Amino acid sequence: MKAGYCCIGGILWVKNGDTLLLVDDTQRRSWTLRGDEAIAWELLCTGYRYEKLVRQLSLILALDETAAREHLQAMLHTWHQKGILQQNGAGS
Amino acid sequence: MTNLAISTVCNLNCPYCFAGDHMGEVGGEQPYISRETFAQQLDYLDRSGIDEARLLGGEPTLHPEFPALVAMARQRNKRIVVFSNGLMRPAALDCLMALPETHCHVMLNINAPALNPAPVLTRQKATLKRLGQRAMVGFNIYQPNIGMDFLLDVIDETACQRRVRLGMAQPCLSGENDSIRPHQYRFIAEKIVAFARKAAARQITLEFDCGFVRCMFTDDELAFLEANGSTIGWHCNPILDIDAHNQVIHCYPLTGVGAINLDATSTATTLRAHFSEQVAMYRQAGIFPECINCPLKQRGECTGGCLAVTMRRFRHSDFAIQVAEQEAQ
Amino acid sequence: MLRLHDTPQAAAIDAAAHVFAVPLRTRVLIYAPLHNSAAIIDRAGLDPLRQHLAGGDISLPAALADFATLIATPPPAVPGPKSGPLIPSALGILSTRACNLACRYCGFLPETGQQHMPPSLARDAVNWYMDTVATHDIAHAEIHFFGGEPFCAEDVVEVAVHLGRRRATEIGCSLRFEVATNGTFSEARCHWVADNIDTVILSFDGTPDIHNKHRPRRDLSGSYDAVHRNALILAEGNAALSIRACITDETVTKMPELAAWFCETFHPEAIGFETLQPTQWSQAADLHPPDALAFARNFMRAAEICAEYGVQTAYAASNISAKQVTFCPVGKDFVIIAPDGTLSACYLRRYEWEAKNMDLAFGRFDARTGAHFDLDHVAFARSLNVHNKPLCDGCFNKWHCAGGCHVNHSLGTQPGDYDRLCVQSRLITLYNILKALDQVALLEDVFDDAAALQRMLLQPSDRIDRVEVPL
Repeated sequence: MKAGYCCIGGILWVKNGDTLLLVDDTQRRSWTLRGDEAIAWELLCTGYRYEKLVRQLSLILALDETAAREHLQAMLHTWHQKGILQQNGAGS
Repeated sequence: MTNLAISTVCNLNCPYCFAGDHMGEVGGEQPYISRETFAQQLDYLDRSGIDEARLLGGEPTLHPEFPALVAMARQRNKRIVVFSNGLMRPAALDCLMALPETHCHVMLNINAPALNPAPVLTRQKATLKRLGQRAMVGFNIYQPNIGMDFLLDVIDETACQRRVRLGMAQPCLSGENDSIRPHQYRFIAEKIVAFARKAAARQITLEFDCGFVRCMFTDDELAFLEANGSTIGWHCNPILDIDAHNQVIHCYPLTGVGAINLDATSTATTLRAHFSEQVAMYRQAGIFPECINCPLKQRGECTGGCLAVTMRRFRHSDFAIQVAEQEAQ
Repeated sequence: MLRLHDTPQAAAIDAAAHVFAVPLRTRVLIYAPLHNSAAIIDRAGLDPLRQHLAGGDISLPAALADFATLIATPPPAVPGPKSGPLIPSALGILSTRACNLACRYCGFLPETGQQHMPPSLARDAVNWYMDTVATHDIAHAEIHFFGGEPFCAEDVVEVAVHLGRRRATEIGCSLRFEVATNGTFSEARCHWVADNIDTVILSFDGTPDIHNKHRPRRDLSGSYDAVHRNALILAEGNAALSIRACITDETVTKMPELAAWFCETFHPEAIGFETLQPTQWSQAADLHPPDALAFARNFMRAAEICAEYGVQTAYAASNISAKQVTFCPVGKDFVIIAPDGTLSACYLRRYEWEAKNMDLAFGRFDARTGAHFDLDHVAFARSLNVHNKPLCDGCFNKWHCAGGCHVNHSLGTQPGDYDRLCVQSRLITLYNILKALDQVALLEDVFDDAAALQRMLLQPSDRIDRVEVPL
């Protein structure tokens, strides 16, 4: 079984140098992402599948794949907690 | 300041027109404001302590009852400001000419020759000549290759005010109109300063619409402009445009962002607060990536350019990612 | 007099060798590129100036005296070939040899061996390059992406960019990315490109009829729609958009209107016009290079239009702000890594070098031990420079064109044996110089006088001491 995340509807973002500014147009909230989070967010937005995303992060962040997976998982969890992502239900 | 859009039709079709999104929405069956709605808007001006009725469109003078609307505003002792392309009916022109010079100001927008057939310019000059000191020339820079020198001849020829109001075409949120891109601002600035030198030699001063940014000019250029009577605000604030159906918007380029209906208690202060809150998140950014760390922006000396440009930099994030279930929990 | 800017290296040469004279009917352009100086004189003034440069005690008009004194001195710097240990001036990454287009003039045949670079190799190469940057305290680093189509291996580009930026932040240097692309990537990728690449050189040949004819996809459907969409995105993004258009004999007269269309529609920062490089494929497709004079003349018209929009017009062999001994990465210690780890000086394919009896590979990259260079091959790459091109010796354009592409531009050996590329480069450089002097009308006059044009273009040497200008 697999589950996943998707972005909360209404979230828009822009890149300013190494910083990403995210805004939630409906809830009037905003967040700033930097460093590893900014890279992961940009990779997510290019539409990679999870395993490819892990491999890309592993190469960029100089982590082995297990560590990259855990790091990505932690970032997704953080964004979920902050209300940037929502869980999009289960699929097979 | 609040603009009252009394007409959603226009007799020109300028490629840079930033009212396009707005016109598309409300143009349909009733393109002109009713006297009743106009009276409500004058009430709003009174409540807000605003002593100007700033009439725009489309082309506001196309309103069949334009003279009557002007009379209504004058009864409230409002100074009349009209944003026009100058192709106005005789009745409209007559009614403006009947106003004292101190109570009438027409901002007459003239297009670059490439967009302006000679007969149109001829009519515009005739209007300017008649309005004389009641009118000043406005010009929108919508492509980098435009020349502006002909405006100086127009001013000499028509004896209108010796001022030119320059605008830089900004995009609607849809981006469907022609506009200047931020990377072109510096080139535009050089053109403006060259034009300002020629204007200054003929005792003509420049005024600037919203959307200009401080970093497009060098210190020397800015000093020259200021020494010759120009002031530039580097501001982008809610202008407040109210359409023919009492819908209030931040400004034409931001049509649809937080639009609300004018009610019997609305004032400019409350409306401006509403729109400022609506767009506050976006104002953290600017038209350039560097704006976010710019000291001028942090000190509030520059708002980071036109908010429509800034908002067009934002994009949706519509990704979905599948992870193993135990990892998602 | 034209004053440009300073050049980097110093050496003494005799005065006349670095001053050129180009006849423009009744006038003569005196051009001293290494002094960043130029002047227009009457023909009658040429001999006195020559005598002055030869050390003669001759009185010159006051207006010319300062200029003559300046150019009589050794130039402050003469470009020379690279020497010493190879310290990469930039890193080139050939992310893939594959391409999703089948351009009718392109000779990028599928090559046996590794097509896509493994992303791990890109990581290792970037780490090696950034380590080198740190070791040598280089303030400005550069990474360029070539193909095939680089974004056919988008994961490679992505790893290199994000990793490179992280490393640059750690090191405290600036890092600039440039990509040459056909622009057919997805919309999401295009936004990433706009956000992350500093300069995008977009191959875009013109309106749909032209572009789809020249640059179809592999299934022969057109690529225009994707390129148009992405050019509009790039025009609003942070990347500097530079359009590169390939011009044929059919499109040469359309250059001015193409220039206006590109400027109005896509708001680029620069437009580069290049002429079609004939190949067996282009000939089979009945595509041919334009006449050199027609290209130069239309280039001038296009450049005038672009200038009104604030858009730079580029022709690579005629950049008068560059003083160089080699036109391309070859010989500049630009290190290009191929998908199989080969390090080379050139991004063309091996079979193209080999057809000209050249081997431009100069090393290999090993994941464990890093870059290994063959010093003999490095020396060979460095030897490909204008100092070793006899045809160029007397050409006023020598420090800008530097003989052009070392692989594809076969140079004659006799003085004045200029080919089509030489002629158009000379004309466009001349235009750029005269434009800087605000004297373009002189060139227009020459275009109207076939004999004068012939004399100007084909004089065996432009060196002031050798030029034959009838009085």
